[in-house]
Amino acid sequence: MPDWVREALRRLAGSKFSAEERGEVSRELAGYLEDLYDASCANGQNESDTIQNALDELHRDARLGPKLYRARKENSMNDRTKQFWLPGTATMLASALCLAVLEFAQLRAHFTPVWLRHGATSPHSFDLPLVLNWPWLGVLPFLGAAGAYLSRRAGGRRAVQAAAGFFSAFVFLASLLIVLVLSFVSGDLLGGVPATRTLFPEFVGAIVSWVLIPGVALLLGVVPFLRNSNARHIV
Amino acid sequence: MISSNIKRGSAEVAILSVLADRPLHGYEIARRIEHETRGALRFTLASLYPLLYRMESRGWLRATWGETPAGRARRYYRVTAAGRKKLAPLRKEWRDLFRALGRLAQAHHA
Repeated sequence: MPDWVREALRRLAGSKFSAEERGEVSRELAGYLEDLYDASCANGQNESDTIQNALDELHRDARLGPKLYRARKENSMNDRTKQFWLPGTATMLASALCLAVLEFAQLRAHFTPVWLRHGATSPHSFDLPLVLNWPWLGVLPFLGAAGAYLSRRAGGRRAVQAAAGFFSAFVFLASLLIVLVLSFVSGDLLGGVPATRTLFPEFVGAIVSWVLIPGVALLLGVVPFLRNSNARHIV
Repeated sequence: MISSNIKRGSAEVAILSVLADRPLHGYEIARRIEHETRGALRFTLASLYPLLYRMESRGWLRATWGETPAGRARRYYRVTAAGRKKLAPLRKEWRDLFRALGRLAQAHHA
């Protein structure tokens, strides 16, 4: 019996699939050919005819590779939107809304980064200022779970589910990086003090407060979904 | 035998219908449709998989790797909620079309 996976891989050699996708599609096509071969053998056909029939199926359509590629990619943009951008954006907005509500509820002082508080920063201070909002951190596991759930419902793979669940943390990280760059550029925020001395502890504190700790909170919600979405044995 | 254009149009209904009962892998889908239509609809590898992938892209089907009773890895397709929602109106469209064709054929026969 031929190595059907190798035959299918050879058949898809010129296609635009990535190596991983080509491997998966080839394994699937090989499964079909293997079943076809077994069924034909069981019906009493001789082996060489059976192999030839299976290979004919594989080579019948000269444009099989491009057709399969187009079919798989037809809605890839929509899928990406449904599986990642929508769940991620929804949970990020929900987390920002929660934060705004908590800030409105007289918690503003706790959330203001120290470098924005007038006179709070000493040029010689290397303290790591942590800003922890426990009520908000308590909400984040549910939002992480919601992001992963929405992504899974739209057919997202595990990595996409995780990315959707962590989207809020990614946005905070991106925002902090932008603030860091702007802070280096803006002389007002530095107040004439070397940037490495004033900004570094604040930045690390902000990363821990707004990215790492919230990331762990989001992870608590995301993990159960990742565990449940392993491929199951159906038959 | 039914012409290839009608086959193409009806293939989606056929696939959604056979998968409505339980998940199946590609070869099983092809054989089950062939069996249930008494050979009127027959898929080859080249006609089946582009269609399955397209339906999967549209969110009508979801595929996961599983094992057959013989321990072989196969990619099993199941109908999603969106696929089930699509199946009902598609079935009705095809029933209406065949009824209309039946009436037309009877009228001309009479």
